[in-house]
Amino acid sequence: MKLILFILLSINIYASTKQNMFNLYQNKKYEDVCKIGFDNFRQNKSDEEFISIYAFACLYSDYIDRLAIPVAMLKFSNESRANSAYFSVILMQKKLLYHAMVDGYDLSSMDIPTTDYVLSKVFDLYSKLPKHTPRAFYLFEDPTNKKLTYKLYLSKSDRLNKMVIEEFYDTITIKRHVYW
Amino acid sequence: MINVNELEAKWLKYKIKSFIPHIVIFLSITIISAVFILFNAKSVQTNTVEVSSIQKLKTESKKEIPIVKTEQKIILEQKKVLLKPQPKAKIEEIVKVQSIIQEKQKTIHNYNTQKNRLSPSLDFMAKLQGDTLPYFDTGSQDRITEVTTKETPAKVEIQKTPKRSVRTPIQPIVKKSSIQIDRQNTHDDISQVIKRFKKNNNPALSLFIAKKYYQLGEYHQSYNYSLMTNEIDNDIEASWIIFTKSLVKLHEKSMAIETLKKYISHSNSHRAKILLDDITSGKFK
Repeated sequence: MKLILFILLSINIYASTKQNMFNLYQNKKYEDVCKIGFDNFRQNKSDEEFISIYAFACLYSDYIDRLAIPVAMLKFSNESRANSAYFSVILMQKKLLYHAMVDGYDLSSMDIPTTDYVLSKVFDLYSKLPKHTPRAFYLFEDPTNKKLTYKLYLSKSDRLNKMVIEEFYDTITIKRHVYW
Repeated sequence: MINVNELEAKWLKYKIKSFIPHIVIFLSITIISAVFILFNAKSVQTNTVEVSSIQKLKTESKKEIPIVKTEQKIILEQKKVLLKPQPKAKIEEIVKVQSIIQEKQKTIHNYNTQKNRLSPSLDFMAKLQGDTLPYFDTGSQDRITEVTTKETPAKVEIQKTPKRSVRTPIQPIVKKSSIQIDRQNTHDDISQVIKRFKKNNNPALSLFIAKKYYQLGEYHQSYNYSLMTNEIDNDIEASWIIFTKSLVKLHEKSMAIETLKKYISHSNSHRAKILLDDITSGKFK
């Protein structure tokens, strides 16, 4: 009887975490969802829906390094494999772009898949540039919407350089993404 | 006198009963071990399949190398042929072959330049929505239909109270709208979300309903629910955007622009500014 009660209670707690994450996700509180997912990951590591919602929340809150584990874990359904591939491309593009920005690695020879995510757009635009000397910042125009522009630059500090992507719409900053 | 037969029968029953727990334990252990072995066998099978597929790939790649080499050989031979003096007919043939090769190379190049675009799959969200529904479910199916039918007049009531200037021209259209639960699965889903919304009055749910109705092209309903969302919480940007988009779709462009301007002055939202730009330039119709 005690065992059954314990099982029921644990199922209830598990369901409420997922429900809470889903509600927060719908309210676009991606950072909160990412943090809750991170804290409860061990208990839910076999639930692909949980992993997916956690991964998307981390992606939209710019915690891209946290996608590494979902990339490895999502594999049992067609949908999760598609999402895993999607996350892996974004993660790879982030790492490559950061390497190029910090160390001057040449991306012009790269031909890898792309996504609709802002980092992929900037990666594509940057990789189209021929071999060049590093600049203080790069300004790219969105190929589909001329009013949208992206500014890419390095925010330098003593300990760690951070890569910044700023989205502009008609010279107004819409969003700022910081990666390292 | 002691009845020996009866005693023996009782003893036999007692003996059988004493063996029952042992039998049960034995059976459960055998079942568990059998299930375990079966699962293990499956995983081993998948591993072997993976290994065999990798081996196949390796052999295929090995096979492919000579093909590439032969192609290179052909090109080299063609070059050699070109170096030698040839009669006119042969030269024409060579030119034709060359043009075909160039076309093929062009198509290969085009194929390489077209990047594969990966897109996320968000179907699991719908599943999550489905999973969470029983959490709020209490009544039978009949009761659900009753509740949903009762919702329409309540909706109109809420609509009548605030912001008259925005709503007045759309009131006759609202009378026509009704939720057809049996028509589609999506409508069924929406009705269940509406039920949840009625219970907890969560603006996230009404926003979800508004978005769904907008996607389905039922702009009167999306207008209603985004308005309800705005009444509950007037700081939700997405709700104002759906509200104005629905207004535009309902041929109330001027009203949409007016409300967007008011919202921008109140919140300074960039998304709203972008939408306002799109509406005024005619990009969004």
